[in-house]
Parts: sequence; C-alpha cells; structure tokens
Amino acid sequence: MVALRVALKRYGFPYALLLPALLGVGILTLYPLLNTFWLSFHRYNLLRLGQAPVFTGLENYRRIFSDEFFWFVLRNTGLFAGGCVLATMALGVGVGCLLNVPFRGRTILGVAVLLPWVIPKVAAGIVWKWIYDDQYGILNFILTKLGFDFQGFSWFSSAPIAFLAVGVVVVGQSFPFIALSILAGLQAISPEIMEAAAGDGAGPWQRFTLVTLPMLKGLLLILTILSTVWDFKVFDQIFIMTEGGPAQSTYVMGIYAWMTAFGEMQMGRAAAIAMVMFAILAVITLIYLRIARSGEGLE
Amino acid sequence: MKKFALFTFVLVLLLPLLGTAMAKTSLEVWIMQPGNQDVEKLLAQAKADFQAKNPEVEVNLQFVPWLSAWQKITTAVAGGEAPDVCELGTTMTPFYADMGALLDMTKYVQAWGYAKDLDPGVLESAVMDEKLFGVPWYAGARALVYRKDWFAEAGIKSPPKTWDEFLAAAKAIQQVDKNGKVIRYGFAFQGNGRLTWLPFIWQNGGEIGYKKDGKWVSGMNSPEAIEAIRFYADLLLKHKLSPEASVTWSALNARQAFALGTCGMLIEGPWGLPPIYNANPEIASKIGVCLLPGKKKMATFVGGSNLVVFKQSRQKDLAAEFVHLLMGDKYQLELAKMLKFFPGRVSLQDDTAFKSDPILKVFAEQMKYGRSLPAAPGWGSIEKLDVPGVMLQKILTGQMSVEQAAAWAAEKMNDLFNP
Amino acid sequence: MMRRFLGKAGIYSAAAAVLVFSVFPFVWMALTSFKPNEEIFTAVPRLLPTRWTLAQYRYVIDRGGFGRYFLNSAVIALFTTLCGIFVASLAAYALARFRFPGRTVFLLLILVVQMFPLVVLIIPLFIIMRRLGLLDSYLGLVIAYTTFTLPFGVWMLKGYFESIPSSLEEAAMIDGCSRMAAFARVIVPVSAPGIAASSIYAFIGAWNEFMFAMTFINKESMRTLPLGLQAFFGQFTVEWGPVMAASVIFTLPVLVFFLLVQKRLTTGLVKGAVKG
Repeated sequence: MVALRVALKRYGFPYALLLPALLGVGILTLYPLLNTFWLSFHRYNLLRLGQAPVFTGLENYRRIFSDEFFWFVLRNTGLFAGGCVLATMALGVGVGCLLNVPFRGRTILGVAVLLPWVIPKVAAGIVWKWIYDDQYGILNFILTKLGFDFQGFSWFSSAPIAFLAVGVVVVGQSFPFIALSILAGLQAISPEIMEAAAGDGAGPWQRFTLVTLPMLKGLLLILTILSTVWDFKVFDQIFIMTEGGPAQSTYVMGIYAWMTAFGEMQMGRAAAIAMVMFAILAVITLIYLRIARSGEGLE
Repeated sequence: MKKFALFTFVLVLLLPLLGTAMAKTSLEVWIMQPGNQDVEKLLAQAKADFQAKNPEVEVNLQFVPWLSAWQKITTAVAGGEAPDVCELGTTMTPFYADMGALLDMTKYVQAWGYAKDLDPGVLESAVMDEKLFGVPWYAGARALVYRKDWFAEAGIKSPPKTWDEFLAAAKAIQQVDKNGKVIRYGFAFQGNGRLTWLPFIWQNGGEIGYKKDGKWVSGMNSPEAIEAIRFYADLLLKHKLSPEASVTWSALNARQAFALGTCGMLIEGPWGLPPIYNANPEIASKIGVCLLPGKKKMATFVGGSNLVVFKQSRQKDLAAEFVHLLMGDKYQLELAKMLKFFPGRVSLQDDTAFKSDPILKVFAEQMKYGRSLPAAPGWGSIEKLDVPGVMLQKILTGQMSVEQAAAWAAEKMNDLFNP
Repeated sequence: MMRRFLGKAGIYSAAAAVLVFSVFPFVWMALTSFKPNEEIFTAVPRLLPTRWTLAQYRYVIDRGGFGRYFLNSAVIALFTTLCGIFVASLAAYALARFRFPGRTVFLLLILVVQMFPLVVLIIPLFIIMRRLGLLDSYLGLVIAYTTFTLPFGVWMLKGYFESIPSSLEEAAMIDGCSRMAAFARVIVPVSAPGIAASSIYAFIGAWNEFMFAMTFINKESMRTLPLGLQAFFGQFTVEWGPVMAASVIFTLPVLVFFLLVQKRLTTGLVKGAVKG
C-alpha cells in the first residue's frame, strides 16, 4: 500500500497520461479476455443456452491437440501467414521507400496505394473472386491474351493455388498500411545523416542497410508484429473466396475458430482454440522482441 | 496549452452527446436482407400499416446482412437481446427451437385459422415435439432448367424424366470444337451447392438423416446414398459434363455459367431466373423447365423460411400480431411474386398468378415432391461446416473414394446431429 | 547522366508496377459500375462499357439511406481518429519520456487483445455494450474502434517521440512552458508524419469496419456504410452493379481525407528540423 502511494507520487504524471488508454482497454477488453480464458476450461454449447458452462478442465485442449485436423490447419496457417508477412513487409518497405523519393506523380501513387486498403473487405473479396473466375474472369482473359493458356483455369480447385490467389489479395490489402507507416518513419531520419553517410562514401544500398534500417527498427518491429498477428488470424478473405475449400484444404485458424464457435456452437472449445492462437502469437512476439532487443531493444 | 486544454474539454463534452438515448419500447423485426428493393419497400409498407393500427408501437424493421445473419442472431440471443420477430431459414429454425429460444406459436396460428393452411415442406422444419415454433412464410423448390434450343438441336424430343435420360441428354448437348475444346457443357455442376444434389439421395430411396430410437442418424453411407453420390460426382469426374473448376462452383457460379451459355442444364429454383434474365436478356425465350429426374422416386428440396417469435420478447402478443399481418393474403401474395417463391399458405399457392405462368406451373408441380432437410437441432452445424459439400469435394479432388467419403461424412454427421 | 536516367527509369517503372497492382481492382470495380446490367457478365470479359450509364448509381441513391449511412460513418471515423490520436499520443509520450514500473507490461498488454480472434470476443463484447447501454450509439463504436486501433498509434508515436531529442522540450520548458505545453507546442508539430500515419490508420479502420457495426447496430438510422453496402447482397441474388457503384462511393471520402493529411506525412520534420 505504501509502495503504491510512493509509486503514484513518483510516477503519477506518466500514469495519468496512460489513464485514457487504460480505460478503454480495461473496459472493453479485460472482461472478454478473462471470459475467453475461463470458458476455455469449460464445456459450453450455445445450443444449450439455458445450461451453465460445465467445468471440464483441460478437456478442450486435449481434444484440440489430439485432432489431426487441428495440426493440418495450424501448418496451413503458419505457411500462409509466414508467406503473407514476408511479402507484405517486403512490398510495404519497398513502396514506402519509393514514396519517400521525390518524383512527379508521387501524390498520385500515394492515393493509388491506398485504394486496396480502403475498398470494403466484403466487396473487395467478391470483386477479386470475380477477377479470378474461371469462365468470365478478367485475369484468365488477360493471361490468355498474353499468350498463356489460362482459358478455364481454376484458381480455387487446389489448395496451393487457392492460397496464392488469396495471398495476393491479403498482401494487396495490407501492404498500403506498411508503406504509409514506413514513409512516415523515414521522415524522422534527418537528411543530414543521409548526406553525412553519402559523404563517407556509402552507396545507396549501404545507406539503406546501415542507416535507414537501424533507424526504422522500432517501427519495423511493431509493423512486423501487427502483420504477423493479423495474417495469422486472417478470416474475411478466405471466408469469402474459398470458404476453406475445396474439401477443407484451405482452412486456416481463423476459419477453424469461427466454425467451432458459430458452426458447431462449441464456445468452450472455440475459446481454447483462441487461447492456443494467443499463446503462439505471444511466443512469436516475444521472439521478435528478443531479436530487436539484441541491438538496443524495447527500452 | 490553452488549445490543448480546450480540445480536451470539447472532446469530453461531446462524447456523451454522441451516445443517443436508448430506444423507447419498440418492436424489433429482423428480416433477411432480400437484395431486392421492392421487397424492402413492401415490408416498409407493412411496418407503416402495423404502426397505423397500433399507434403506440414503433416497429424497428431491420434487414440483416445475409452473410453474417447466423452470427448476428446467435450473438443477440446469447447476449439476451433477441429480436421480437425474426425470419429464419428452414435449416436455422430447428436449431433455435431446440435451444429453447423460440415461442410456441400453436395457439396464435389456431386463432388465425391457418393451422391447416401451412406449407407442409417448410412446416416440417418448424415443428418439434408437436409444438409449432415458426410459421412458414414462403416456400420454393428447385427443378431442372434447360436450354430448349440446345435440346432441339441435339434432337431431344422431351425433357429427361429419369437419371439415365438426364445423363443421355447432358451428353447429347455437350459440344466439342475441332481442337477438342469443349464449347458447350451439358450441365452446370455445383461442387459447392449441397441443396441441389442432396435430393439425388432421396430420389434413389435413401435418406440424408433420419430418427432412430429418438436419436438422429446419418443416412449418407447407405447403399442408396452412395449410389446417388457416385452418380452425381461422376457427372463431373467421369463424364466431364461441366468445366473442371465447377468443383468449387456455388449456385451463383452455376447460374452465371448457364446464363452465358456455357452450360445447358441447371438445377435451380424460380428465384434464380430473374438474375439469369438480368445477365442475359436474350436467353428468356430459350429456357425450359421440367421436374427433376427421378430414379426410384421423385424428390426435391423445399426451401423457404419461417417467421418466428423469440421467447425473450417482452411483447409476445404484439410480435405475433405482426406475424399475422405478414401472413395475410395481401402481403403473402405480393411477397411471393417479388421473391419468385410460393406463399407459405397453401390456399394461396393456387393463385392464378402462379397457375397461368407456364414456367411457374412446373415449379408449383415440383413442390408436390418437396421434402425438407432433417429437422434436427444439429443440422444447422452440419450445414455451417458443409459436411456434405466437403464430402463431395473429397471425392472430386481424389482424396477419398465415394465409400470412404460417405463413411467420413456419416461419422461427422452423427457426431454433430446430437450435440 | 546515364546513371541518373536509369535511376529515374527505375523509379517510374517500379511506381508503374505498384500502380497497376493496387489500382486494378478499383478500376475494374469503377468501370463495372458504369455498365448496364446485361453488360456486367459477358461470355468474353469486356473492360470498357459499350454503353456508359449512371443507372447503377441512380439505383443506389434511390434506395435511400445512403446519406444517413455516410453521415454516421463520417462522424464515427472522425471521432475515432481524434480520440485515437489524443489517447495514443498521451500514452506514447509517457512511454517515450518516462521510466516507470509496468511500462513494458503496458506495451505488451495493448497488443494482447489483437492476438485473439474476434469470434470469441464478440459475445462478451456485445454483453458489455448492452450493459453500458451503448448498443445503437456512436459512442459504443467510437470506443470500440479507438481501443482496437490503439496499439499501432501508441507504438508508432512512441518511436517518433523517442527520436526527438528531449533537449527540444527542455528548451521550451526553460522558456516558461509547462511540460504539457511543451509537448503540445514542440513535440506534436515535429511528429506530424507519425500522427498523420496513425490518423489515416484509425480513420480507415473505423470507416471500413463491419463486424462490430453489424453486431452492435440494429437501428436503420444508426447504420454505417459497410452495413449499407450489404443491402445489395441478398439471400438469393447479388446485385452486382449497385455493389460496384456503392463501393466506389464508399471509397472516395477516404481519398479526400488522405489528400487532406498527406502533406503532413512528408513535410513535418523538415519544418521541425529547421525550427530545432
């Protein structure tokens, strides 16, 4: 108690500044998170609305881990999310740097890059699905016109190609955010440093790896964390474009959790799946932080 | 500093203003998004009618986004804020009925005199333990839609009545060009459209699911069902009567392929015809409709929806009264004509509007062979997870034989049937 | 000379490639929105309409309600942006300039909620909103969106504030400013690019959001644009033309917002650096 009072006195100002943020997080997220944690040890079927959740210990977890399908979905998700994060970050950083170079039409490019991010997700998913359509899609039409035989080519009948097709959409919708943040980050690097580096004889690539990247480290860290988190949870695009098919071969964790929660109505097991997803993402995040800290770190 | 403080002050002041006052007592009516402005206007008119008769009531009519309807309704029910009146599809009704969330409508329906007048196909989905948990609002069934001109060119005199004739017709209208490329396909296959092909199982004398000793059991791995699944899968797998990509085709894809002259036959309901005419107006005069071919018997799936009242409703009589209004002659007939479905009240299905139209007449005839999917509480889950569709796709992508896939589906269904 | 030319050519070809990739779906959408119904699906895809028409737009506007959805979305997105920037910059400043117990915990805590799939949070969130009487209100959505877009703003701005030497505010404080005034007058202007990026993120996040709006909003008059767009996805049919037209209408305001803030994205530091 005394310690608390001392802490408050000493750190009162920063705590006060954090208060508004904590209020929102506290009101909105604390209860749902604790509720999820608690439910994950219970059997709670929404179909039995009148019955209270029944405590079952680790049963939900046991059932998930012993389900072959879970491991299949986890592998799918890992590969898909990994690929998407790499592509998103590479494209985002590249475009961010490009936008930082003054050239005519930069604003136009800035607006253009924003477009895929802005189009409502449901509409975008449906438009893309149509672009990919085997019979009437513009993509097969253009590719065939260019001399490749893509007539009637089906983008969604096998998992690897379907993942590729959806991946393009996911990356397309997430790289603008990365690009814009990188652009903003680049603005914090003063031109003098760059000029000094150039004066020391550093070429463009060396300037990028030796000056730009280290200066952007904190930003890259949070962007990578957020992209990983989002791509690991990806739901909308797959739900609209493949529905997890054909034959459940494009299931990812997001779909798996949804189907357990609102398909099978097993809220307890869905909560356990969510906890597993959380644990995996938390570990990945800590690894990222560790890597970043090997230089100067979070502090 | 001043600016900053002012900004904070304004923000704090404005925030509470943003939250509008909670609604006064009102009647929540949730209808599935019809994607049809005429229907929206019709229901707005029903709302106005109802408010004119009950001036103290404010009807909050909401069209629920179709793709997320299931999640929204479930969240609202679980969160204790269910609507008063709601439209539920035939596969969703047993689900909420079993949950104990729906009001028994028997006494209301008897008072209105509709007890004997409700469409039996849809009614099947609303009855549980001899209680009536929903009132059939509209109903419709799929039949076989075909290209008359292609049939004539191939010398087919009359539309197919049996599976064999159906297969022969599909093969006959399929056309290949000099290079071996298919330019006309016989059939628009749906790898992702369970409602079109599940009736093949019934046609072969099988069952999708049935009640045995008070428990629901899957019929997917019976010899009749396996034969039917094989027949359907082979249309694509062996006979290649539809483009390769139709492994993942949904009703929308198949409809497009038919509308644009890629495929010559389609299993479709009357509601699917306007979009076809819309996409390709010239096709209207070339379309014929016949009953789905049979094997041991004739069968189709009757779809549609029920109007339900949730038990959580605080004004059940009023809610029922709103259902009564929508079940009246005027709204029943107008709605059916707009949606291209049939009214939920059988006596109105004989209306001249349906009898005089040569195409609607066939669909009306088809309704007589209509059946409902298992009215089991777990069927909703089976549909959400699309167990039948996954089974079919496992066969089509070569992961499993028909027998293996059927056994897989049966096991999965038995698990989900009795939650 | 040659090298400069090659550099220029490289930049423009990269820009062109990015342009095509990001603009293509939108262009396809926009072109489709000017086609009459029978031209939307053709056996051989056609890029341009043979007959340009505004019929799809007229249909969308005739349906009514879009003005109201637009207003709702704009109010919610603007307030989310303002609240988000306000809350995030205060927190980020504390994190950047002070060392205190729980600092790292806080930084990780705000990330935690992002790691859960929304499906399991949505029912408890609904219950909270109902208890607080925030269903069918702007405030409910503003709070939800602010909370869910907070982590990026906090982390981004923290990095930004850290890159600014504290000598800058100290100088202002010696001149007689309080700490908050120094923050508002010195730090905030210099961090304009970071604030601009965070505000675009918050704005688009709120503008685009569907799941919360779908769950928390029941009144027609409180619907947002993403909900309004759903009107054209029916149970049995999709109205393609209107979907495309409505999506184009939906996209434009964000571009206007972007054009308003994009200057800040690139000129902040230059000014600040000169001042500093």
